[in-house]
Formats: sequence, structure tokens, C-alpha cells
Amino acid sequence: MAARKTRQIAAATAFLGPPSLWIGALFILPMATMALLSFWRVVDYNIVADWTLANYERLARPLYLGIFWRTIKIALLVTVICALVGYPVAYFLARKTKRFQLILLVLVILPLWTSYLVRTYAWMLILGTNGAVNQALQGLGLTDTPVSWLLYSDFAVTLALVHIYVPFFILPLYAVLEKLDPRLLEAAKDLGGGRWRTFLHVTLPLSLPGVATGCLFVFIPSMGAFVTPELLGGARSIMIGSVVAQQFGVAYDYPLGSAMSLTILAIILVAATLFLRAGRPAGTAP
Amino acid sequence: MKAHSSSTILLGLWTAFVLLFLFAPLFLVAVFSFNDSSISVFPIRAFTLRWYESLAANEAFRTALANSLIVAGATVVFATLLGMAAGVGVHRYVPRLRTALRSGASLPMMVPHLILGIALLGFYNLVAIDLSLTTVIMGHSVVAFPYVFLIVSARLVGFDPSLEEAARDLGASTARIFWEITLPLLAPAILTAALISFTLSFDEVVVTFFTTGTDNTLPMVIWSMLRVGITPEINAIATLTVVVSCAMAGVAEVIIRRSRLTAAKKGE
Amino acid sequence: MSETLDLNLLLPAGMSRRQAMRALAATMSTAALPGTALAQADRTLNYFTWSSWGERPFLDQAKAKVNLDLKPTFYSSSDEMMAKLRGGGTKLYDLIVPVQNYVPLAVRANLLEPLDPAKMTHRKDLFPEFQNYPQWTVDGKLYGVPFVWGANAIAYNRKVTGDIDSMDALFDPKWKGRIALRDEPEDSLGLAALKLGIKEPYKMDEKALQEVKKLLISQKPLLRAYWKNIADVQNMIASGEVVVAWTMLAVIEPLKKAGIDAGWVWPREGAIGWSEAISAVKGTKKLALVEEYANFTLSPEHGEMMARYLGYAPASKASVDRLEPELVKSLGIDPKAVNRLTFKDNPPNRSRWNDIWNEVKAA
Repeated sequence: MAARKTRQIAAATAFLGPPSLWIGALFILPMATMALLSFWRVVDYNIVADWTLANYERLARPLYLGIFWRTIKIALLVTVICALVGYPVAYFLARKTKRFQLILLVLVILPLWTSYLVRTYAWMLILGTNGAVNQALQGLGLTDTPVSWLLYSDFAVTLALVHIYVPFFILPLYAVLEKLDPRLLEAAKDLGGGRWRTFLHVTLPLSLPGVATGCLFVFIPSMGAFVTPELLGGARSIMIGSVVAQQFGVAYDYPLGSAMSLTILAIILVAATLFLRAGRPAGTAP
Repeated sequence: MKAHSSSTILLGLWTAFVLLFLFAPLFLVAVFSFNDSSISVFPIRAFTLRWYESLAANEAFRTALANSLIVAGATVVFATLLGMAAGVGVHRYVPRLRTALRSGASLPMMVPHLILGIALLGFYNLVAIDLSLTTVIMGHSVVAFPYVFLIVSARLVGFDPSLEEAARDLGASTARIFWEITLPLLAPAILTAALISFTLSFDEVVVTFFTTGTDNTLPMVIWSMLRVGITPEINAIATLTVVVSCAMAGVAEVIIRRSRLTAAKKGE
Repeated sequence: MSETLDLNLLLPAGMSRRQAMRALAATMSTAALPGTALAQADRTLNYFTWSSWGERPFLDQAKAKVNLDLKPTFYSSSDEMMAKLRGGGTKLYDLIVPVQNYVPLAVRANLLEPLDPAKMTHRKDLFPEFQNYPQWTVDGKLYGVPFVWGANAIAYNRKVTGDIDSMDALFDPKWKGRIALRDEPEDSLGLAALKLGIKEPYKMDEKALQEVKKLLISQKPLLRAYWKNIADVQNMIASGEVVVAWTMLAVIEPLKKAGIDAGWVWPREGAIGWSEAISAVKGTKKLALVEEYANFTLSPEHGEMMARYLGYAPASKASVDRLEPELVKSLGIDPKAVNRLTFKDNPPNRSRWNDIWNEVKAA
């Protein structure tokens, strides 16, 4: 019996040891390093282990607070738009089509696996001064001079982020909607609830967990977006991701960049808690 | 055939519109990649393959493609092996912690790639690991690991433990049980996980950006071309990467979805 | 969360074990381990540089004339160069091309290896102004001999704006939405200071910095972008999105080739000067080769090619002597003109400069 127990432990170690070590070394340790760095500082291009809260104090300046605030606003806006755009699609896929379900589902998900760099770049072609949209507007005689706020603006960043992350919203919502018991919906209809009332009072509340997860899946990467604002944001639309990247790639201020990153993670954590609480199906215990 | 209600038609139209929104930009890039003009604007002039030809002749592109394949290939191996081991290990030895560990293992998915990238950079710096394709592979394996783990775990949930127990009662060794029973059962999940890991790594930009040395992968070439001057060659590379990703993910998705849908229909 | 994060959706079924194993094996076979790129030929140098110096003609010339294989990686600002070197780059690169004011900083951060002055045999061919240019020597040790000097000034689309001779164009509401500045404090705060008539921009006090900040913020509504990379600004001018920009000379020749009537001027308020040289990265195992290339960049043929290809001014008088007088005149290669430039320097309150610049950008 003891031998068997030992064998069990050996086998468990064989299976769980390597992945734990790997993730411990390449995920936990780096994140811990980042936390440490955020309390250190840089002197003459050298990182000094000099415990300080100065990096967090710098974050509290209007400059960085402003960028954080605008990033949160953009990320929330992207999340809301994704929800409005994506909900009907998920609903249609899950409940209204049988014949095209597979193909449509795959089509919705495929872009999610394509490079977001390429998808961002595509918007440069569309929104630029000589881009497709401006050419169309000028061709139709709607404007003489190219519309310049299309690219390098909050508009461009928001549009591209919606484009990139809307499948992230649709997928988890679809999974929830698909599992809804059709008998429940039938019953609601039989009880005299119209189509709308059934949707509002039965389907929508039951689908909230899916909405919450979808929102989170959109909010998280939008909050940390770097490639998209960097390429489409220009001078007028700075997001915190670019500022973080700058601390590591340009300013050599790892401590400040680390403090910013931890703050982003904290915001994500708060958002996750709020989203998931809001998404708890009615009637479940807290 | 029953008649569709107007709301169904509206929803269908909306879905079609969203799909158009999702694909039109990619389609546009592909169209320009075949356009015989050195600037990516309308009107489309004539069909040409010259951007692909100039890519094929471009050494930086060929090197980057090779690097991307090496990195993605190695990521597949590491992420798949580790994710599978973790999935099987948790399922078999600590089933009670399954839910908690599943949330834990998906943590790297909850961290934006930007933060993962800089955390790795700071870490490599502090422990003096030189940046190279190897550090990129290590980073990508962390990105892909949770996907593999979750895919494998999900497969194991529906897996009847009595099979393994019966084999053990008959005196089969742990290794033998793994090879003869567990692995075959997991094969489809592993294949999916491998395809997904490949795609994740092949398209990865941000972690690569912070953790690579002097070697570039394809997305890094696109990134630097976007900054060093947009040529239609970008359209060609972009189109190629999209085609590769779609092919990989498409195969995985179609297989999965079809089996899921048929399973669901049978269950009804 | 893991309940609704339903990755069960991803599970395939209905594939035979053999099919699956074959597919897996195929995937794995592509996964050869990456060999750390050992230099096969010993004359390969990892070259961390500005995009201009890594263009084909320079690489080809290095191969043809001194048999060096330069493998370029690019940075687009001095700060980026420093950050990348400090963040592990000293293990990756053999040589860099700093701007003169970053040399003392890089030396202090222990990022550079001194060069042997005896090996700089072409140094004697330089204009006297550049033979012992300040800042390239730190604590008596030589860290580079500039092969090029230049100015950051105004590029414009002559067809749209007509001729320009003043910085006023950068602040002219007529070009609203079609103006670009550089995303770099030394350049942008520097030019704003010159515009305000501040004589020594790199010694500005807090009061002057605040005035500069006010000026730049008031200009923001007119701006199309703060460009980060020379290619960005080149694209913006080529596509017509920008008609007046603060930039380097290197954009002009490609724009002319693209059929744009591109003009270039040092505005009467002044322009910002710089010199660049090859420096050796701390710990390079190929110091001798780096010195060989550093010396080659001072040679008549390198300077001549650079002037013809990019329009930059060689520091080498022997190079300039090879150029036709009309070309010399059109390129404005006159070392006497150096006096009209404000050369980049290190502000004593550098972190204030960065803060001010970030405040401008975020405003």
C-alpha cells in the first residue's frame, strides 16, 4: 500500500512537476520580478534596488492619470460596442439558424485566429488619407478634401479594436445561449409573453454570464492594447499600453513601466470582479 | 421549411453585415497584394504576382519565415507536452482542485500580452539570459500553455475513469495505461491544441517584440516594414499569414464544431 | 469564469488515433531546435543602427570594399538605442551609430568600448572641424570619429506650400492637420525654443520650458502627427497627408524619386545639428572589425556614396572633393554653416524634458 502511494506521488510529480516548474519560472517569476521592479528606480541607466514608492507617485500625476482614464474610457467603449454588435450575432447563431450554424460559427471565429497586426494594418489602408473610405467619399462627391480624423484618432483605434475583439465577445455568449433550454423559452411564450418580453425577461437574464465573460474578454486586451493604438492612434490617441512599451523600449525606465503594468492588472482585476458580479444569473447566491 | 419571421431575417442580415465587417478588411489586403501598383489605393489596376515574387526573392522574408516556423514548431512541442501533462496530472491526481487549477492555469490568458512581454524582458534582464529565438519560444510556450491545458482538461472531463482503473486492476503499469488508453483518447484534443498553439505563436507580435534578439519572425518583419515604409510586399506577407492561420485554425474549428453540433443533435 | 470560458467548444472528435499521431508528428518535425546564430564567417558584425545606415548600398559597399557582412537591426531614436543596449543589447550587437550627445551617457552607463585612434587612418581627411569633435572623446578615450553631420529642419511639399524659409509654416493654421513634428523631446522642444528666440535651448530653465510647452500645446490642433520613424514621416509626405514637417534630410531624395516636389530648408530661426559615428559596443568580440568599419566610414568613397545616395554631408573633405560643385552647393555641404546650427546636447534636467514632452503629447 505504501509502495503504491509512493508510486502515485512519483507519477503525480512526473506529470505535474515539469509544467509547474515551467510556468513558475516563465510566468510567476517574471510577474514577481515586475512587482519588485515597480518599487525600485533607475539611476544613470542602472536599475537600483532602492525601495521607493516614487514610481507610483509619478503615476498619480495628471499626465499619467489622464492617459489611464482615456484608456479605460476607450476600453469600455470598445466593450460596449462589441456587446451591442455581437449580441445579435451570437443570438442568431445559437438560436435562429441550424442549416448554416457550423459555417457561420467558423466564419465568426476564424478572424480571431488571424494576426491582429494584419487586421490593424488593414485599417490603415481603409482609413488613410488616400484610403478606401476617403476615395469613396470623394468619388461620391461628399467631400472635396480627404477626411483627416479617420486615421490617427480615437475613432480609428476604437473601430479597429472592435473589429479585432468582437469575436471574443460572440464566442462565450454563443456557448451560453446555445445551452439555454428551449423548453424554458417555449414555456415563457406559452405563458403569453411576446417575443420581446420572452427575450427581455428570460433569454437576456439567462445569457448574462455569457455577456459578462464576453465583456471581460474584450476589456482585458483592449486595456493592454499596444499595437493598435501605436499604429492607428497617432499623436492624438495615446493609450497606456504605448506608454508602458515606451518605458521598456525607449526610456529604459523599467520600474515606472512595471508600476504602470501592475496598475493595469489591478484595473483588470476590478473590472473582472464587477463584470462577473453583474453577470451572475438572477437568483444565485452571491 | 417554415417561413422565417422578420426578426430572424433582421438578425440574419445583421450577422451577414458583421461578417462583412470582419472579413472585408482582410479581403482588401489580399486584393491589394495582387494589384499591379506600388501604392495600395483604388482603382485596382491589373492582376500581378510580382509582390509574391519579390517576397520569395527577399532574404529577410525567407529568414523570418524559417524563424517563424522554428518558433511555432518548438512552441507546439513545449506547450503541447506541458499542457497535456498538466491536464492529465490534474485530472488524475488532484481532481478536487480541478476547478481551482483550471482558473489558475488560465491566468496567463488574463494578462495582456504586452504585460507578459515586458515581465519576461525584465526577468531575462535581471537573471542575465541573452535574448534570442529561444527566449521567444519560452514566452510563446507560456502564451499557448493555458489553451492546451484547457482543451485537454475539457476532453478529460468526459473521460470514463473506470477504463483506467480496470486496466490497473489487470496489472497494467502506469506508463502502459498512459500510452495505451489515455493518449489515444486524448489524441484529438492534442491535435487541436497543437494547431492552436501553432497559430498563436505564428501570429504573436508583442511578446516577440520584447523578447527577441537580432532574429525576426514574420510578424516582426511586418511590424518593421510598417515603420520603415509601406510597400505592397506587406500585403503579400499579410495575406500569406492570414491564409496559414485560417487554414490551421479552420481545420481545427470545423472538426470541433461539427463533432459538437452532431453530438448536440444526437442528444436532443 | 472557467465555466463560461467554454473551450470544450474546441474539442475535435472522430479522428482516428493514427491520423492524429501522424498529424502531430508532422507538426513536431518542423520543430528543430534553433541554433544560436554562430557567425560562420568571422567577418559578420551585428549592426544596431538608424534605418538609413542599414540600407542596401551601405551593406553592399561594406561587403565589396572591406569584406564585412553587416547585419543591421534598427532603432529610431537615441533613447531607444540606449534602452535596447541596456536591456540586453550589449550581448547582441557589435557596433552602433550614436548621436554625439549620447556618447558621454553611454560611456557612463558602461555601454561602449573605446577605439584605437591609431586605426582611424582616414581621420586626417576630415574637415578640421570634425577631426576632434567634442563629446566623441570621454575621459581622454576616443569613442568615435564622426563620418556625417547634418541638421534636422523643415521638409515641405513645394507644390502645396510654395517656398518656405521660416518656422512660421509649422505654426500656420493654413496647414491645419497637415503638419508633423518629431516624437522626440530634443528635437521638438529644441525647435520650439529656437522659434521663441531662446539662444541656448539645451540650457533652458523651468520658466523657458513652460513657455516652450505652451507653444507646443497651442500648436497641437494643427498637427497631423508626431512621427516616430523616418519612414512614417516620409509616408505621410508622400501620401499628401502632411505638407510641412520637421525632419531629417534623408526623406527628401526618396520623395523626389516618388515624384513629389519636396523642398528642404534650414529655417531662419535656426536648425538642430548632429554628428554621428561608428562606436563599438561594450564587450564586442570583434573590436578590430568594428574599428576597421569605423575607419572605412571616414573614407572618401563611403562619404561620396552617402552624399550621392542620401544627400547627407560627409565629414570627410576628401569625400566632398569628389563631388561636383553644383551638387555640393545643392546639398548645402558647407562646414562653415555648422555655426548656424544648434548642436544636440544633454540638458542638465533631462527628466524634466521628458516629462514636459509627455505632457505636451498628452495635452
